[in-house]
Amino acid sequence: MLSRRQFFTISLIMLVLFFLFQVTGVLKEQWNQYDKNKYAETAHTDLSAEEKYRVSKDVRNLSPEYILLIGDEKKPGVGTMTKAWCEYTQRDLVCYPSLEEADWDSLPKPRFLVVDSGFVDYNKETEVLTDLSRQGISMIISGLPDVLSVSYNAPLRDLLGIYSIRQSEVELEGIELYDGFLLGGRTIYQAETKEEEEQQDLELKIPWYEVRSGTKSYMVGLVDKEPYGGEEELKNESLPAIIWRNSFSDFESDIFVVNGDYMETVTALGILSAALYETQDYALYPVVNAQNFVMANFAGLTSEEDAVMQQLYSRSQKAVFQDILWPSISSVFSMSGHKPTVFLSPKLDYESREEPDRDKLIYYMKLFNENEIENGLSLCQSSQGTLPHKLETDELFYRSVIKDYQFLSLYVDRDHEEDYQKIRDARVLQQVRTVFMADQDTEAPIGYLRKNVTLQRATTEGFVHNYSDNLQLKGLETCLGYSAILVDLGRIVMPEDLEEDVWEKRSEDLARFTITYWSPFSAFDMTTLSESDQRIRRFYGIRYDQRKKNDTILLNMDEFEEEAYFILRLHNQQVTGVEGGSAREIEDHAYLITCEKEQVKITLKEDIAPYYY
Amino acid sequence: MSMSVLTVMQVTVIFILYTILTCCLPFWLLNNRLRGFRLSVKLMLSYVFGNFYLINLVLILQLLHISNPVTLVLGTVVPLFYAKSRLDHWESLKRLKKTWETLKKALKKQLGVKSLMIRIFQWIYNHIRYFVKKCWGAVRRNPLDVLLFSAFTVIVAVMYGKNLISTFGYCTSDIPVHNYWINYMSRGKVFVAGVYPFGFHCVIYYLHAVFRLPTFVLLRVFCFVQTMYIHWMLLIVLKACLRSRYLCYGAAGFYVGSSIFGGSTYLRFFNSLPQEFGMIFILPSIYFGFAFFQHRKEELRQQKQPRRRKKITLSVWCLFGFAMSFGLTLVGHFYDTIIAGLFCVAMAIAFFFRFFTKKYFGRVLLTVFASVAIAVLPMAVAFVTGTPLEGSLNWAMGVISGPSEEEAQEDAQEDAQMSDGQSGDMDVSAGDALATGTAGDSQVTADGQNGTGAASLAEGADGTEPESVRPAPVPLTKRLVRIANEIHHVIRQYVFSGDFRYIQPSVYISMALLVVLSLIYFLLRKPDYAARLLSVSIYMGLLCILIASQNLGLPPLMDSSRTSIYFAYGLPLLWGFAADAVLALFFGWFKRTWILNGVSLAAVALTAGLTVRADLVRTPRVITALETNGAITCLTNIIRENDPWTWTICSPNDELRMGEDYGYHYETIDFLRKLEFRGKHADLTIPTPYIYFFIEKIPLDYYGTYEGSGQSISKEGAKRDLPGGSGLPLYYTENRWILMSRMYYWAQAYQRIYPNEMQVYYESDNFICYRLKQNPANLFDLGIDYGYNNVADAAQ
Repeated sequence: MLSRRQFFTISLIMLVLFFLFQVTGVLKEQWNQYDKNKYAETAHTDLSAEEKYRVSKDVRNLSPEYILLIGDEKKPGVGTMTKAWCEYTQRDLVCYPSLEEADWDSLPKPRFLVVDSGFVDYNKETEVLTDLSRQGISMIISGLPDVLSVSYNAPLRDLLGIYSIRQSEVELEGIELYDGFLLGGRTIYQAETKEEEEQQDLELKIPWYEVRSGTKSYMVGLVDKEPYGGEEELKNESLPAIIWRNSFSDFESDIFVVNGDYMETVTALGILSAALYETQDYALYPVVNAQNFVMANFAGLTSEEDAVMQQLYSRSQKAVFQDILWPSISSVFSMSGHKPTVFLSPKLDYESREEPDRDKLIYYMKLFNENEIENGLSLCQSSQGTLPHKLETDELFYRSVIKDYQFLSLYVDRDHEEDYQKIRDARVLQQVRTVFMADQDTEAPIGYLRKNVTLQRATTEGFVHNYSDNLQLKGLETCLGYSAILVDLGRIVMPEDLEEDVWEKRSEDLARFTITYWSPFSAFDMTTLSESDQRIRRFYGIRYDQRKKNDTILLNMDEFEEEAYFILRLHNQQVTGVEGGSAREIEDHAYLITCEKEQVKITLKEDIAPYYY
Repeated sequence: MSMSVLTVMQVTVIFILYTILTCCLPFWLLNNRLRGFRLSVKLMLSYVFGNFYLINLVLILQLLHISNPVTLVLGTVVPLFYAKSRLDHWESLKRLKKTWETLKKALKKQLGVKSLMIRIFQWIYNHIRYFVKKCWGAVRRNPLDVLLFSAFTVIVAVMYGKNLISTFGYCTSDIPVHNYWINYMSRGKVFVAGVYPFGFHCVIYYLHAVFRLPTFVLLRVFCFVQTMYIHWMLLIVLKACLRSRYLCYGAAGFYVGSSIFGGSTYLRFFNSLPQEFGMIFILPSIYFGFAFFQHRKEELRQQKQPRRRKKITLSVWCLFGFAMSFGLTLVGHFYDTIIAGLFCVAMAIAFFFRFFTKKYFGRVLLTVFASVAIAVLPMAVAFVTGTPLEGSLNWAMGVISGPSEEEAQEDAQEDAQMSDGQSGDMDVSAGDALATGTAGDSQVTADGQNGTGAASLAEGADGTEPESVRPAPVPLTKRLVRIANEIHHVIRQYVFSGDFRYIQPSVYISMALLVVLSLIYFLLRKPDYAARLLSVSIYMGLLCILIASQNLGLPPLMDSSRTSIYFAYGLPLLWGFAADAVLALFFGWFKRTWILNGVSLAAVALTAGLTVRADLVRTPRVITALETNGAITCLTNIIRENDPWTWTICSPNDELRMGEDYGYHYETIDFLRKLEFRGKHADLTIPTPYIYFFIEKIPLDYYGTYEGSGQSISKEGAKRDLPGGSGLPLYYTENRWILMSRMYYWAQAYQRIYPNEMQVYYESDNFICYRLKQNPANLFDLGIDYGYNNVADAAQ
């Protein structure tokens, strides 16, 4: 029999336990400020397009490291990419549509001459290019003329470092990108399984150029060696070269040759940065340092697509999002370390009368807040209604639930890119500081849309990651340290192919691609779009100069705001210390430098300093 | 860390390991069994036993093809422990069992780690304390001996250590060949280039295999260890033979510290070579011979008295010691056996009154046969199983079997050159060059091992041709005078340094004095001592004939330069015995030995004082190596910082064998020849991630000097045609300058093309090393037009 004292003690313990279990939940609920966007404060900056570096085209006022382009800077491809790269690296750009038109006498020596082969007649102008190389001008040649022209043009072969043309066309088994050029390490783009065959989208029929001594290959084609006598007869050095460098040591010039269309896409940004690095003792350049994970069309607040969802998942739309999609996606981004930005779609069909679920909104906003996820506005809709109407409807809904929440980002899908220009001044969008758009591999991935609004493009889709996407990812990471994965859940909620667009398959792809292909870039920070926006503004706004003396690099910055990020690529040295910041190793000889002060001193040590002397 | 510090550390470690293995462990085993011998003799016998066992263990395991670190360790530890247990009535086994029980307790957690560690440290502490106590006791009992011994050791260390920390490379071209042979022992191929005395190689191989010490490091620094032992043996034997206590320090100290000797008498001590290794055992064999006659006589005298006989008497131990030492000279180098044999002949003559008696002759002869048989057996087994003789042995066999000298020498030269493409077993010694330069003869001596030495020196010092026509009969006195003149001339040329030839008569005087004194001591009924004196005198007389054998028209068993080493090594014996005999004659009759010892100490002090006063102190020599310090520094670093087989060194030849266990080697001449007349697509690739190019900015004088000796690499050199031919001559004199110039300008041109990949790894005033880092999946074509390779691109 219990005494009163014992009874009292047991009751007290139970009460305390009850309190302890409950209080955490209550406090979490009470202190969850889901109705406020914390990034409005933490990711705020006053920097705008006015602080951006203006690329000069005036030949009388060029920076010493300017770029000369033979091509069209407005033509999507080599031109736009070169221009974007000049903006990012704060270099001036002079562009001529042909070699003939360039006023060589008045032009100082450029850092690089970028040649879009479509604008050069190699039969007539090879001599000019050879003369330029002898003047010590390094070049990046994008694309080559047809193989017959190359075979008849010995001076061109000499310029490009082609020793022989083994075959006019060869069917490659794959492509190998060597390490030390683009960030991300050595990669073999060779499909061995059925899934990998779906990923193979690189150009596999190319002329087989064998390069001579004095060249360095960065990317080569892989062929079946058996028909050519096996490993013994066909050495790796004889494999078809795709990206290589030919050096004229006597004239101190380097000719980078890109045999293919890799300079037409954002890969060009990486190739240009890598070429710069290859021709220097070291390379130090600013980067954005932002890895984004964006979920669009997160339509877990309505039941408009219940019929399809019931058919595919035997659940309502809301239940699919809450019980299937959210747990699955959250496990992916928690494994990859990304900080997602979610573009909720309160409604998909704005012609229907169904109201979005307020409770679900609160539920998700709380979840998002707990997971440091940012919410943004979206222009997506399945109906044909006007955008102002959609935006007003959304605003009304949001204000009724989360009236103080500042929407800083806006998602503009591919269908509404032009429409956005018409409504960009809408009152609803006044708070928006960054616009997120779908990927476009021939356009600059980041920039300013307006004075105070930045543009961020998706760099890859979450459910698809082809080999060309991977190459582009490497290019972007090399140049900008930027990437943005777009997970468009519209494909799940409004499937086009009922067999393929099911979450079972898509979630597998999403996890596989996101976790695998971003792991080499884990040194970069995971950000939401607002944080990324802040970094882009700082990236554009920063002015810097650098100098290396012995084993020390001094970096001085103007317009410095709190933090800046640089990539430092060294050849035979390692970073031993950073004063005024910190360094993180991305891979061998590549570091992400985080600057916390205006002056940063990076100390280095030789890789190969002999221990015994 | 500086290479000098590293070298000191390496020498220290190797010295300690070798001493523990060959001296301490056998001493631990045999100490109790050797009662009756003085400590120095015990140590000498232990050392001889240690080496004998070690070498034979390696040879047996190698011939059985089961030689590896495990079998070597087992072959060392198990028999050692078994023998120790047998000798101490299984006490050691009991101790081992007890230790095992303790360990078992620790494994079962019945004994804590802390307690176990305390016990271990306690054990170590007790033993160290015991050892220190013993040592301190010895120091207190013999303070002067310890002081003089330390001083002697320091002098040897300074004389032969300075070069070690100043010159890192091999100083003779022989060593890469030995390096090659030892490397192949690791691959289970003993006698890879033919049957050869492998004693030295076995010791180096053992240290390499068991302690993971790189062979090239051992070959670099082991010379110091063996030189120390050579000098210690001299000191110990003198100490054991002389009647006065301290005179040995004076004689040995004067030998090592005075500058009266010519370079050829000691410059080989700067190299780790088999001959010098075998030299360690010459004097122990002689001592054990002396001691045998003495102990045997006492034992025979005691046998007459009714007393229990011991199984192994002191004389038997002496015979063991003699057999092992004599055998070790044979497995070390045949030259050492020749010298030891000469001394034995001298000893047999001097001890004629005992040697030719029934109770001595049989035992001695049996011992000699046994020692030769044991030493020759592994070689004979290898020969019988199909391994041919090494080139230099063919020459030796030829000399013994008696074909014409020229024929044999030509054969040996050919064999030697074929035996190893990289150096051809030619002994190109910077030291010898210096030495013979001093003596006014050819600056390069050839290695007697391959028989090339005889020819170059056969002409004699005065340049006279060996007589092919028998001369007209001359009177005996005239012939004797001529012989004496020849001997005098050769000794003058090879043994003594130019400024100190006035000391030479003291050799003859000492020899004569010893003969006279030996007669006196015979008359004074000190037959053992007298015979020793006579032995030394006869031995030196035989050496006089040997050193001048070529000039006297005798079979050239050894060239004069080589003999001079042994001759000089015999002089401290000669002078020591002479001085001791004189002192003992005057002061040895006093019952109080301190008078004789005091006088001997005074004589040592006088010798030291006069040596300093007369400016006879030798300056420690630093000799030129056949490899730059930079090359060794780079090789050491390359091995340290890279994974095995990820690098290639492109250099003339030495690094081929030095780095053979760790990486690849590409010969400079092959490299340059592949670039000749090629430019844009030479298809010259080397498939390792790192390639190191060794270039001498001031090329070494590898084979003597030439007109442009000491000149830097230059465009002028690079413009010259690549030398033709093959083998080591490609790297001689001017050829080396051309090759290095070409390599330098190639490296410069390549660095301009690949500034980030091709880097200067190391640079000094006379050496530069470039490192090329390449992608192993896509190798760089190293063939470029560097401006001097006559590119025929137009043709392509």
